[in-house]
Amino acid sequence: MHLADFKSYCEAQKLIAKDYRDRELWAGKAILNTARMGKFSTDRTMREYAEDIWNIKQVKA
Amino acid sequence: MIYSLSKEVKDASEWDAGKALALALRDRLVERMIETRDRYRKVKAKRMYYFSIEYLLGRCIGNFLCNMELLELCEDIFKDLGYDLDEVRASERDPALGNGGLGQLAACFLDSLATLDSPGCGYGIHYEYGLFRQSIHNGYQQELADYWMMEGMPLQIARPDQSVIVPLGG
Repeated sequence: MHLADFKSYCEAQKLIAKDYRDRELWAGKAILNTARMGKFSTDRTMREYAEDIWNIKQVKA
Repeated sequence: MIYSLSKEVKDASEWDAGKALALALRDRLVERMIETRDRYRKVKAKRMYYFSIEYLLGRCIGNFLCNMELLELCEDIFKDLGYDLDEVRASERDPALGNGGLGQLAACFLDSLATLDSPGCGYGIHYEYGLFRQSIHNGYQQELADYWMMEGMPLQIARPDQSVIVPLGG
């Protein structure tokens, strides 16, 4: 499984290395990456996993 | 404290008070646990079992007091008995069952599952010693065994009657 993706992984790493050399481009990407970060909540994560993956239902008191 | 620990309040340390409080909390938690289990059983709910090699729970007494809305009541009771509840809470040892992000996430996931009334529970490894206790001497780290259960962990319930042999295939 690891080897199945390895080639495209290496190609993506080459693109990353190329962008990294461009300071301005890299800084822009880094800022956008941070700005687009969502709020993390395990309540939300558990609700999504329960519905989409595990298929377990809430049993309220 | 008198019957469970055979100690009188006048002779009890902070952690003795912590142990007595933990035992009282445990009784109430067990009642709720049984109620929850019955509720899930009654509707034959599908359950999720979470397996993790770590659970970073942190100290539990304060957490339980908050969740069960008993914090203020306990503060008053302990004050009357001559204790500072914050110091009693601080005397609890951190269970050495997790170290970093993976264990923190696992513990948060279980908290959230309970909050959402979603049927499930976690399985982990009951490490006898933690990773290690760190101390610094003359600028160098020294590792010590973290025997976190030495002074008692009253919130735990051992169930040797339910033990099974887990074979390790090679």
